[in-house]
Amino acid sequence: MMAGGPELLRRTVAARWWGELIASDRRLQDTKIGYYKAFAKVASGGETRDRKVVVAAAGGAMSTFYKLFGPGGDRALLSAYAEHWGGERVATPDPTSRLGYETAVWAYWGHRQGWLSGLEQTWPHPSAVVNSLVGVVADFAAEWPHLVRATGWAPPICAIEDLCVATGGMLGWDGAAALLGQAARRGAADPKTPPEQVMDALRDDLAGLFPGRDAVAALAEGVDAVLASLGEVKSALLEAVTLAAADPPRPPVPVARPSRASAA
Amino acid sequence: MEWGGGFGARGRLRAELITLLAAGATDFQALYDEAVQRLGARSGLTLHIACKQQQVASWTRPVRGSVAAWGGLLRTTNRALDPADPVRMEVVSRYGRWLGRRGLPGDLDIAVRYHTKELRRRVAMRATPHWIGVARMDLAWALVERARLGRFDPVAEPPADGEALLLALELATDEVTRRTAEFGPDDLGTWPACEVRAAALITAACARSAQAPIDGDVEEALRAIEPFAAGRAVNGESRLLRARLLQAEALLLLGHQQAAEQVARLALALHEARPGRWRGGIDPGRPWLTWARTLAPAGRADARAAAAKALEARESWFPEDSVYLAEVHETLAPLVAPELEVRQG
Repeated sequence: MMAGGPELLRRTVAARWWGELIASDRRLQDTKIGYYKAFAKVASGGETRDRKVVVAAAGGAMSTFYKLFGPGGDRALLSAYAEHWGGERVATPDPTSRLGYETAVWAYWGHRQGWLSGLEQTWPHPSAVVNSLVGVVADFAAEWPHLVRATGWAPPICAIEDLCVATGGMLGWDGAAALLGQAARRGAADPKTPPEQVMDALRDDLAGLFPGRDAVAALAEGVDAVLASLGEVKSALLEAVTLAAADPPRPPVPVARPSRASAA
Repeated sequence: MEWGGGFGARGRLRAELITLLAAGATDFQALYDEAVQRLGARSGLTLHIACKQQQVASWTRPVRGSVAAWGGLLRTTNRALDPADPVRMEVVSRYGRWLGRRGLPGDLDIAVRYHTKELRRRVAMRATPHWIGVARMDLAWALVERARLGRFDPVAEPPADGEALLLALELATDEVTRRTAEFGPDDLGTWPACEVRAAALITAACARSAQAPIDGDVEEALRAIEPFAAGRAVNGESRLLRARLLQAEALLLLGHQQAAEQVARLALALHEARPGRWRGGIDPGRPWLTWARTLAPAGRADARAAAAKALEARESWFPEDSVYLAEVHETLAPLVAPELEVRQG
């Protein structure tokens, strides 16, 4: 069973942000989605740093862009994170990058829903929770390689938070970002590679996270160790018997003891 | 709110599939039905879910049923998907593997021809290195299995002076090199290539053990296995049970019977912790067979019991005239023969 539990994952900063956004007025939603689509489109052409290009692609006004993605922007995802996780954990970049963070979460949200649905059906071991998230992020990156590249090969910020929550804090923000960053980079680098391959490649990095692994595996290691010890004992005994057979012990040599009388 | 620019539904279905697979789930019917409803029965994602459903189902049903099921899925994917589609290539590969695993007369040859053709096709259409590599390993395995078990197949082509094994070794070595560069020498992604390389070396050593020294090849096989047969992941990762079994076979060839027995016993115990399926891609009789072989030189009664278990396990999975049953009979025969002689006497 996972450390954080699906119910905690339904109440993350990103989940609350998404809930508030879809409850907000339709016009705000449509405007934001227009910018997300514009960012993704511009990213696929390799240009993202120029905010004028993004704003033009969205068919909007620069003032609206700043109102939504500038510092303290309306329903801004990074502001919600900074409030909850602290400013030192979450970078506060320029407005175009802020838009990039939100676009990635918007693009990733379907994957997140699928991941949560899978977890709710299976309640797997924590290692499978983390491993599946690695695969899901790799799969997302394979679908959106240009977007991932445009956001500096970073995983969607909500996936980093999910990993921290799912591991019950065993993996901190930086560790989670690094692990999922590798998954995103590998997935985006070769979109035709199955996500299972990325999961395999990062499995060793995950192994150390869960000292209380599969009980059978732990038992097997114990049995293995005992058998190895027994093997050594058996070898030593065999060696001793072989030596004894080749060179049988001589009868004890009588030791002349001083007589009581002479001692006196 | 619309997710992911219209791609959200597909992303959600794929993510759910990845999570269910990672969690060890075995039933994807609800997910498949939803994909059919949303995307249609011939969409790549729907067929991808069907492929994974067959992959998991194949671990828990007789091989003949798996060949038929994969054959059906192959016909569907061939009609619905482009030849370079990864889902189609995966189904093509898996059908060929199960065909070879069935082991009916002629199957070993058919599998070699099938994978040879598929490798050529992927190279010709410039498939990605991953999918060419998969075809390379499929062919290497088919060649190794034919070299190993062809003597039990009444219609198999006679071996051509080890040429087939040399080709298998070359294919496997190429793939080890490619995967080592991509993932690293001890990565799980590199293991399947190391495995088939070790199997080719061991099979070649067995084939000429009567005529020439074999220690060099077997030691090389052990070195290929070593990074995967030790360390913290080996007991928890079911695919690495195969490393243990190959290690036991190699140790036995080198005459280290006690060490081989120890390794084989542990592999068997790990395999039997979840019986009734092809755990780690291993047929349920193989761990018993390997253990029987390691016991054979030392304790006849234990070896006979283990071989009988191997036969019982394989009889539930393979057709009656499969080479995989003949393989067990070959191990079992000398173990029961003296008993028959005593009875007859």
